[in-house]
Amino acid sequence: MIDQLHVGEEAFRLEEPFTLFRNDKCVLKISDGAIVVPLYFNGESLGYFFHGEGKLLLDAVIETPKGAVGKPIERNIETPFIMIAPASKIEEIRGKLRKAENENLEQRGYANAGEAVEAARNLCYAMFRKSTFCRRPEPQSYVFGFQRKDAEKLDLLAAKGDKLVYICGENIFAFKRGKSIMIKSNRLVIAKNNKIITLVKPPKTPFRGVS
Amino acid sequence: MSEKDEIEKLRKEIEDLKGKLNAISDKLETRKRHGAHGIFIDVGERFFDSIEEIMEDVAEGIAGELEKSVFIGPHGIRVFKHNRKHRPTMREGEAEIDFSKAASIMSALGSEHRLRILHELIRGGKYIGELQEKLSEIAASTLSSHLDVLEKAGLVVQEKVRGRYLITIPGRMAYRLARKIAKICGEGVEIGID
Repeated sequence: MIDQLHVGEEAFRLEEPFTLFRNDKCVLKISDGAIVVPLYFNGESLGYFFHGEGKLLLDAVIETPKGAVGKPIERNIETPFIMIAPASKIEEIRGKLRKAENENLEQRGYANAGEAVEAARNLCYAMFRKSTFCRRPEPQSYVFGFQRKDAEKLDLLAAKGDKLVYICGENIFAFKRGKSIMIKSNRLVIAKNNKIITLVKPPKTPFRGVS
Repeated sequence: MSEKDEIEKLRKEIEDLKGKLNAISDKLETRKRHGAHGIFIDVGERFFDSIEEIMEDVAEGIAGELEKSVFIGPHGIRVFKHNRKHRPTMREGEAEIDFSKAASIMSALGSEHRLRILHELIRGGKYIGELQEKLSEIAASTLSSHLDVLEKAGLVVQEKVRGRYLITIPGRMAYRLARKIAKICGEGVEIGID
């Protein structure tokens, strides 16, 4: 698949702050000045590579009759990430792009546009290297792959409407209206229509509790 | 419905979900072989594979846990591991109390206004405006600082996207505890216990 993915030859900068994704549970914003490289698949626009200052807000909170479980995640994004988005969003972003000047590129640590394109290519390789094929299931789906500072693996966020999956290291959050799965450190929480199962493995006590 | 019946029902739901996942996997395989309609765009098969694997693991994990011996007590269900002989004694449990955490929770509960806020949130998540409306005797700035205290103690959580405040499971327990203390101590005073 990686052979069919084409990374644009030019680097752009985002002219104004932009909300890349928003639903009831999650908001992903990026500030102006971010370096952007377009991505294509078989000649069609697939998404973008971004490198700038972003912010991810995710309400990894499950509301149950017994009380809320989990905490919101507020994450500043400084590392590059890839966005695969619906065509309408891609067009909207395209209207806010201007060619990146050297000073914009230098701010992000790139000597020239070629280096930014190379970084985009490397991140695409990390995200898609094991892929053989996949069909875009719905035109309204989003996929984000965030480069991590400390590891080769990516953090992933996939969303469509009110459905959302976020995989961040060992932590996994999956939300759909009325249904949620949350795996965090030693805790697994599954909630469906006001029913909740929590599996906890406390480090010091020898029993595993289910409530 | 008893808790055993609920567990049985959940197990059936898990089995159904596993069946559905298998059906989806089969469908995907068939599409791979025969080609699906529409444009194929690779957005990372690895990603969707991972999600399927996670769902499988979760389903298997739950089924596995429920197959172990289940103890249903007055305070809920506990599933004990077979290979562990040691159970914590009350004395060990007591030794693990985090007094500073306990004190911060009790301190967060030590305000009539904060207890009233918890009382409102028990009935469901609320925006700050709704809380302000219900608790008009509390000034807006004071309400915010009370919510901060409750949030720091882990009794309340605020959604960052929608902005609603929700009571957490520990918050609900702490609220119940406060009510119990008020009731027991109130009775104690009435019958003259020092």
